[in-house]
Amino acid sequence: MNRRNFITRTGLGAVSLPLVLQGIPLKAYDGPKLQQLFNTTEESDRVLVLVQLNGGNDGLNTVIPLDQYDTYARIRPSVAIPEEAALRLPNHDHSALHPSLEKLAELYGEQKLGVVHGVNYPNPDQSHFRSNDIWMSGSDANVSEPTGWLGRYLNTVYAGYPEGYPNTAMPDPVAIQMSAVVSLLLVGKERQSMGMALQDPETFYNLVSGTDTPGTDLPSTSYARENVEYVRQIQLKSMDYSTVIKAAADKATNQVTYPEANRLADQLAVVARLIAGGLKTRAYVVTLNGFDTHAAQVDEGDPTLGAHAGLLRLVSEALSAFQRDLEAQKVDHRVVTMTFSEFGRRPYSNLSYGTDHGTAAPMFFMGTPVQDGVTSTTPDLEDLENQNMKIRFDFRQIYASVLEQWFGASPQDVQDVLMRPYETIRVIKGSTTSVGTPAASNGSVSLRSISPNPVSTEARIHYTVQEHTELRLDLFDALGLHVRTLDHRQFDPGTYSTDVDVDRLPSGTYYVRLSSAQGQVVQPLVVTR
Amino acid sequence: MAQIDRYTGPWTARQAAHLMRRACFGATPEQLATVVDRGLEATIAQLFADRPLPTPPEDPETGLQWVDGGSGYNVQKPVVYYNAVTRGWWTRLMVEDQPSIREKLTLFWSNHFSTEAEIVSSALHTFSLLNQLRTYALGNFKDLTRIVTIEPAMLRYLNGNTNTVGTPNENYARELQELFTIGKGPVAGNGDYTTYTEDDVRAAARVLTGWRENRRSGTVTFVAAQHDSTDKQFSARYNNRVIKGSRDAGAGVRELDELLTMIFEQARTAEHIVERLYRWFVDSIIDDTVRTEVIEPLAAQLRSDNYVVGPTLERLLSSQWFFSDNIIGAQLGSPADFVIGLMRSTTTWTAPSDRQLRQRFYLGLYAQMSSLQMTLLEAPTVAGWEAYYQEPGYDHYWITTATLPLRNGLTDAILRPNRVNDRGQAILDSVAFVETLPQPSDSLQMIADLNAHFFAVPFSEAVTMRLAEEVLMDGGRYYEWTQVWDDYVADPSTANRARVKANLDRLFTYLFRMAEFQLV
Repeated sequence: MNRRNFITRTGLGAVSLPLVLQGIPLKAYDGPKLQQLFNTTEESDRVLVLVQLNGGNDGLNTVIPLDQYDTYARIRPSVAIPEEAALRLPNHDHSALHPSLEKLAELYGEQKLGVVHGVNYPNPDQSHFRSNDIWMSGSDANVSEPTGWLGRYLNTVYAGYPEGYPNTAMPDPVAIQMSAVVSLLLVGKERQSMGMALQDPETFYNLVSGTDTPGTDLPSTSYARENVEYVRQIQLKSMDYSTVIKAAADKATNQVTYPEANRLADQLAVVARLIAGGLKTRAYVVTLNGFDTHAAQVDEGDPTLGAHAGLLRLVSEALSAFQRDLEAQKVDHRVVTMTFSEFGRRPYSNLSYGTDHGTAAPMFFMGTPVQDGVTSTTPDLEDLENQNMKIRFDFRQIYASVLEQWFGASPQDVQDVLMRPYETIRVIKGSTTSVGTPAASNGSVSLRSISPNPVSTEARIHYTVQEHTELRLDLFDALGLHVRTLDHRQFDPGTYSTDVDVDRLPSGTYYVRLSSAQGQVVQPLVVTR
Repeated sequence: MAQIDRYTGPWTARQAAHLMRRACFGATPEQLATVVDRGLEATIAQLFADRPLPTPPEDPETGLQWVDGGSGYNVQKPVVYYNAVTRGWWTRLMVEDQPSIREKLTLFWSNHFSTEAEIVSSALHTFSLLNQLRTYALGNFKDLTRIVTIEPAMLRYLNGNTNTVGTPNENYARELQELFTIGKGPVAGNGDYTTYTEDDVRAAARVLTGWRENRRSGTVTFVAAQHDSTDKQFSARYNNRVIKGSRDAGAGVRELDELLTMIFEQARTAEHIVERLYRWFVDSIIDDTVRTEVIEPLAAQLRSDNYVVGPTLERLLSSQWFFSDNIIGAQLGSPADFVIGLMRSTTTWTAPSDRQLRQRFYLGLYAQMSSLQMTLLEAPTVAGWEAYYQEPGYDHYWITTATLPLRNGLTDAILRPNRVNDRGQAILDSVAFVETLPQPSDSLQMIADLNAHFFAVPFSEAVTMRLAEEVLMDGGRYYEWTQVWDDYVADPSTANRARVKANLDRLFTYLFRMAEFQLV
C-alpha cells in the first residue's frame, strides 16, 4: 500500500548473477519444457505482446453468440449485430465475429487466432479503475495489490532488477510499454517498475544521448530522498537503454504498410521493429482507449456502424498488420499477442444505443504459435447473475496458461506469481497439462457413478461426501486441459449429484475430477454424437 | 501541538517558497521576498482572497468575446479552435495570475470533475464547466456538485442526457459516488463497496433520469416524461433511504437535491474530498498518522462549514504538518508545477503583445504540459490523472523514461532563443536572471540563492562546491568566477557577456537536469 516502502536495492547482497546455461543448445529442444526440467531461467527469445482495450470492450458484440442469437437480439435490441452481418468462422457454428473483424477472421482461417470465452474475475467490481487494477495485479476482487502479475513474473526471471541490469544476459529493457507511463501490470515484487515507457525510439535517443546524471548526494528528509532516488533511477534507465533501443529500431524496417490513423497500429509498428531488430525484451504493452461505449456504441439505424465498429476495425487491422509484419520478418514463431479489457459490457442494451458496464468477455490470442479455435461455449444468456454473464474462466487461469505454456514457467513459479494454483487451458498449440490418475475414492469423497456414459447431451455425476469439506468438480478434456468448473463450494456429509451439460462439446474422452484437501478422484466421461 | 494547528516555526525563504510552489506553482524572487517579509498569515489571506472572475477569453483572431453570450462565436470555426483558445487563455492565467490559490485549485477541480473536451465536443460547454469550477473553487462543494451534475458538458460526457426511465444509463450515477463524492470503499460483499452498493448506483441513476440538453440552444431542461417517477430505494449503506419519485416539473431538482443531501450527510464524503485535496496540495501518502491528525479533523471542519471548502484548505496550508520538513519536497512536480512553475519563477521573459502571437506563446506552454501527460480539459479517463489516485506510484507516475527526457529537453530549450516569442529571446536569460540576485559575483552564494529559489531541497556544501568548480567554472576554481563576473560588469561587451553566459548556461542546464529539480 505504501510507496514509501519502495527502496532501491543497493550494492551488497542484492547483486544478482543471472543464470545463463552457457554451452547448452537450449533452442534445440522445446524451450519451456526443458526450462521446466531445469527449473531455471534461460535466455528465452519468446515475446508476449499485451493489447489493452481500455474502457471495457463489449464482448457480446465482438464475438457474437450465434447459437443463442434470438436471446441475444431480444435483450440488446438497439445494439445487436444482424445475424446475416456477423462473420462466420470456418468449421465452427456457435460463435461469429463482428463484421469489423474481417482481418482477424482471416487469421482464424489460417489457424493463427484463438478465442477464449467468458473470462473475468470472480465477484466483479464494475468500476473501471478497480477492474483495471485487478486485471493488472492479478489479485482477488477484494484485495488491493500494488504489484502486477507480469511484473512479478518478470521479476522472478530477472531477480534483483534493476540492480545489476542491463547485463550480458539481459542487455535490453525487460519490458516496454508503448506510452508515456508504465502501468501497474509491470510493477515487480519490490514495487519497482520492470518496464520502461517508450513513445518514439528516435526522439527518446536524441533527448537522452550525450547527457549524464547530475549529482550523487541525497536529501536528508525521507520523502524527498526517495523522490530523488526514484528520478535518478529513471535517468539511469533512460541512458542505459537509449542506445540499444535506437540500434534495434534502426536495424529493422517494417515490412508491411500499417494502416493510417490507427493509434494501435502506430504502437505495434514500433514493437515489430524492436522485435525484428533483435531486442531481447520479453513483453510489450500497447493500449487502445475508447471502449467505454455507454452511448452511441452503434449508429442509430445501422448497428454494424458506430464507435465500437470503428474501434474493432482499428484492432483488427492493427493486429493483422502486426502479424503480417512479424511473418515477413520471420520472427512470428517467437511472438504471441493477447488482448484484454477490464470487463465486458451488460448483455442488455440501454436507450443511448450503448451498453453499461458488465462482466465476462472473450479474449483473443493471436500468433503463429497460439492454440487456434474457440475455447469453451458462448456465455449463457439465459443464466445471468445481477443481469450480467457468469464467468467461464478466472482470468488468472489464462495468465497461468500463458506463463506455463509460453514462457515455460514452472508450476511452482506460476503459483508464486498468481498466489495460488490455477487450472490451465490450452493457449499455445501442442501444450498439455495433467489431470491426475483415475481413482474412485480418496477417503472423504467417493464418486459412485456417471450416467449415462457415454453421453450425448447431459450426464449426471453421483457422489458421496463423508466429512465436511470444500469440494471442487471440474471437467477436463483428453489432453488434460480444463474445460469448465462444474461446482465449487463447501459440502456437508451426504449424497449428491451434479449435472454436466455436454451439448456443445465435441466427441471424445473427457475426465471428471473431484478435488478436496484430501486428494482427487478422477473418472473418464465419453461424449459421443 | 497538533499537526493541524497553525504553523508557528521559523518563517524563512524555505517555508515561503514551499507555500508558493504548492499554492500557485511558484513565485519570482521579488514575490518571495514579499512573502518572507509579510509572514504566513498575510500571505494566506492574499492567496485565499475573494476576487472577481478574470475577463473571459476573446477570439485572438477577432478580439471578440465568444463565451457568456458574447457575439464573437463563429459557428464556422471548429470546436478544437475555440478549445485551443480556452487552453491558451487558461495557461496564461496560471502563469500571469497574481499570487492566489485560485488557478491551481481550479486545475484541481478540473481533475476532480474531469471531462474530455473531445467527447464533450462543444467549446462553449467546456468553457462553461470550467467557469463554474473557477467560480466555486473555494466555495460550497455540494453546490458545485449539484451544478456540475446538470452542466451540459457533464451531461454529455457521462451520458446523463440519455438517462431515461425504463433504460437508465448508470454512467454518471456511478462516477458521482465512486469518484466525485463519497468514494469507493473496500469491497465488503458482492456489489457492496462499503460506502455504497451496485443497487445504489442503479437507484441513483433512476433519480437522475430526465435531464436533457437541447442540442440547438445548449440549455438544460428537465423532461418529466423521461423521468422515473417511482420511488428509489437505497441500501443500508445509505440507511435504507427512500427517495420519493414523482412526475411533476420540479421532480428533477427535488430528487437531485435529496440524493446529494443523502450522499453529503455521510462522513465519508467529507473525508474523501479532503483526501483528494491532500493528495493534490500536500502529499500522496495517507497513512494512519495523516488520517487521524490531518484528514479527520479537516473533514469534520468541512462538514461543520456545510462543505464550504475555503476555510478547510486555508487551515491545511497553514498547518504544522504542511510546513514539516518531510513534506517540503515530498511531491514530484506535475507537468503544471514544472512548466507553469518555470514561467512563474523566472523574470527574464515577456509574452508577445500581439494577440495572436500571445495565444501561440501560451498554447505552446499548454502543448508542453500535454506532452508531459497533463492535457488541460482532456482527462485521460473520468478518474483524472493517475498521479492522484493510482497506487503504488502516485506522483511518481509523472516521471518516466518517456517524460523525464522531455522535461530535460524543455529546460535545455528555455535557455535558447524562443521562436514564438516575437523578439526571439530566450525564456530564461541566465545572465539577466543572475543579475537580479544579491551577490552574483560570489559563485557559492549565487548557487545557494539559485538553490533556495528553484529547489525544494537544499544542496550540501560539497554539492555547491562541485557545481561551482566542475560545472560553472568547467574545472576551474570557484573563486575564479568573481573575476569573470567583475570583468563583465566593468565592460558589458558582447564578448564578455557571451563568456559569462556560456558559464551560466552550463550551470542552469545542469541544475535543471538534477533529479532534485523535479521535487516540489
